[in-house]
Amino acid sequence: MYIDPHVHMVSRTTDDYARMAVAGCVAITEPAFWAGYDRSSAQGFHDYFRQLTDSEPRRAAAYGIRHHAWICINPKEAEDHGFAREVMGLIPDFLQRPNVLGIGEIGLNRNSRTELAVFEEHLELAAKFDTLVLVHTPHLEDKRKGTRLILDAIRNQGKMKPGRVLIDHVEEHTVRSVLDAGFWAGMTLYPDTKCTAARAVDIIEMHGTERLWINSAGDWGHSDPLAVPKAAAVMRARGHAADAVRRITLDNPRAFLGQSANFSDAPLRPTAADLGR
Amino acid sequence: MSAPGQPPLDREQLIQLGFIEARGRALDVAAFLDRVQRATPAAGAPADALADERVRAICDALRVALDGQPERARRMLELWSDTTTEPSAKADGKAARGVPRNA
Repeated sequence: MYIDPHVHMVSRTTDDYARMAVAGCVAITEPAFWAGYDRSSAQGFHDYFRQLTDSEPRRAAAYGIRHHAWICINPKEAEDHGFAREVMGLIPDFLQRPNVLGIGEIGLNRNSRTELAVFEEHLELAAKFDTLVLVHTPHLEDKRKGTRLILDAIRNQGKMKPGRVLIDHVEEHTVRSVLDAGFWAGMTLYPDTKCTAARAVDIIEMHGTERLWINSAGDWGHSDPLAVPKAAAVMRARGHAADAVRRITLDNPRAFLGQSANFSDAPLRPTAADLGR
Repeated sequence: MSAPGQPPLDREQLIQLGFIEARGRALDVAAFLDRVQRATPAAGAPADALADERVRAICDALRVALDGQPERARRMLELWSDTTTEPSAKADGKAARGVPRNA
């Protein structure tokens, strides 16, 4: 059994759900993200949020997988502040949906002032509605600086308990600062641009298993929706005990996500509606 | 239970497990540098392949790999990181490039 706490199933085929179910996936969480193109209106986001909270949970349920969502405007589309605010105006309604865990994946992409301002406004929404937060940290050369800006912004706001915030896509140069500040940390298993399974296991060996999880962040790019069970296999091959593998792939996600009453990884039997096409 | 930072497997077991993959990746880096060196420079570009900051960043990182000190992966990532501290006035496109400009 495992949980993939960050995967963009709107970009994946139904066959991927089938493969994940066979591999033991019992629950997933899907943050709102960039679709590979900029949406031209807030209505486009409204439809996307409906997909995350209505059709995608049914698609997952057909394979016995519980689907949860995070809602936001992602940082890649946050450079137009007025547009971002229009989209953020949609969020409160969607936070009431039964599969929504909180605000995410918010954060920074290129570390611009507008991205940072939009991030701070999302934090205010999370504080107002007392939700969990899932934070995206930037890619490649922008990650270290962006992670520092993000940690500073959360500290300066002062309204979020670190234990209710997951800082995602950590690597060797950012994981320590995230954990030392009391936040949860996510490692994303990508073949080239984030952590490989071998490096993720190195990080576990160096920093322990507390407040740490792994995810596939499977999406429309070069990624693998089975990355979590494959990394579990690498962990076992590297001599780690079954309880450590279970902590990283099941117990830790369950502990963080379980802070939302909307999270469940209990066995799921699909309804006739879930199985309908 | 291993001490913090100490892998459960011993050194020989880890080499046995990871050597062939690491060998292949090391060859890939060497072959990439060969390929770039063999190629004709783009119009107006310097003849030296190392003039490209991305290629130079890889070579600089290889020095980190060979310096015998621990935490090579963290130090490579730091070498390839933007070291400025203030947010930029505007997003410079959507995609990062792997190393800072003028690295």
